Amino acid sequence: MEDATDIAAYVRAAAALQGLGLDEAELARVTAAFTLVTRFAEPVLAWPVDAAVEPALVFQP
Amino acid sequence: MSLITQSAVDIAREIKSGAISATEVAQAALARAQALDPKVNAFTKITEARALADAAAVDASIARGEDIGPLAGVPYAVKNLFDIEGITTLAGSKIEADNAPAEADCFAVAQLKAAGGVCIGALNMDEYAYGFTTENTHYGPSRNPHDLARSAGGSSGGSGAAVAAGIVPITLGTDTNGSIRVPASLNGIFGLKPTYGRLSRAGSIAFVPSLDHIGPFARTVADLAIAYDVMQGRDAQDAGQVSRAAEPVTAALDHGIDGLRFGRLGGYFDQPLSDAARSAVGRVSAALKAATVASPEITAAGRSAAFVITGVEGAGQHRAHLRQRRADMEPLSRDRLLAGALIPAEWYQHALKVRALWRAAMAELFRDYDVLIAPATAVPAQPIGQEMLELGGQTMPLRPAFGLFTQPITCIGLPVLAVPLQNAEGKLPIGVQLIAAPWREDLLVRTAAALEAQGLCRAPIAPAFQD
Repeated sequence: MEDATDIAAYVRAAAALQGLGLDEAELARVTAAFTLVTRFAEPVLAWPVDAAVEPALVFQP
Repeated sequence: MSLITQSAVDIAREIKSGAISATEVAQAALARAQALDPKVNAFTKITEARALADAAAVDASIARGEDIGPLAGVPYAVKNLFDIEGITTLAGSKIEADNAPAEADCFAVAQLKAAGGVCIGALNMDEYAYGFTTENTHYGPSRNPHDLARSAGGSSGGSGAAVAAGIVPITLGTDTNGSIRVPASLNGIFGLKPTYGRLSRAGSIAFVPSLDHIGPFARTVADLAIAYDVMQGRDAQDAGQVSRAAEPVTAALDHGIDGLRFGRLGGYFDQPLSDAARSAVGRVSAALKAATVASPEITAAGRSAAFVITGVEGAGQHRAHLRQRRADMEPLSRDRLLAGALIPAEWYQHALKVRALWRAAMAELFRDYDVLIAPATAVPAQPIGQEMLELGGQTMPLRPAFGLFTQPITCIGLPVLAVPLQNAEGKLPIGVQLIAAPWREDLLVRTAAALEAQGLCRAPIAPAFQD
């Protein structure tokens, strides 16, 4: 999702799917915020993980 | 200097000795809060009736010859994220202001009260704890007692400002990505973020459940240790609390640091720093004769994981608000919460896995070191309203930059004690993080007490607020 057009399209579709009901001004602001998310998320998404890595603590009922 | 501006230890001793009553101290604390809060905007509610009732109960206990506890008559205040019986828990929001007052104190406040503490109010914060500057649109910004034009940090900004201004010796805050350590750094006071799962968060409004911590602020290490100790205890209401016996640290205050192994974290933690931050870390490291340790290569990914986890879980906590009440939400964080709601599940899953690897990498370091040293913030307090930060030839958004060095650590729940150095940049202080392995808060208290005894790390009331 590096292309700005892709991000804008994703935000519009995902926000609609979640029923957030964003207007055009909100969509523009959230697209900017989500663009920042993609930048901040780059280091973690680039880090390779093995399928065997336990993602979280084991739930103990 | 009046008693109210002394440490909690001194106040409790004087009250127990009968030199002054808890009621007199509470009246003095309330008067100081009323007089000074208009300057710093630390409080959203001063609980006069509650304070006087708490103090009267302490005086009655003392009259009966009872040992009321280590905080006998000590005034304190708590971030308005925590339930205080009889007042509405705002969480820095307009939305929660519609709610009924809390029916009971949360666990932490009940513990402070049981130890003799006197609650004088609720403190300002970033809405729903999402922010590092307490520039709260609904209740106004909290101002830094060292420079009123600058931020008190966040999200526990009111908690930091109230202690630095000498209104109370102890406050309670929360830390999800740095919200205790950032205000501690910017206000020049001590702050403790214990191990994840140590202290009960029940009765506070969650932000990011898998990252949320609570902890105290104080102007002395002894006060910090006492506040931390009295809040320990099992509370079945917090599903995130680990079933573990209380491990008090107050007795360790004078154990010294002989035999402890200190490491200064390099690598990621050498990223662009102000001269003030670099000097502070250097001075603490020199005082502790710390070796230089390269931070694990995965550190940046760990910080990034915290960002993704925060986005997803934070949005999850407020999904209904985002759909129905977003016009009433804080403009500075609303769009970030909305963006968090759109983060793909696969990213979150990946972040959780990286968190596990990052935790394992840091555990390796603790085989060779007892306490690790890192900057708390890259810069001292910045002007309220500032959006960008220029540092080391880079320009970056200021608010997230405050979490640069705190976020990786909270991501894996390690205990951290932020220690202050005064006059780090002109009149502004800055903090340094002392980091230990899980459950080793005792090592942090020992180290901080040693630095305080040396005179390197100390937290006097901000000069403009001294008597």
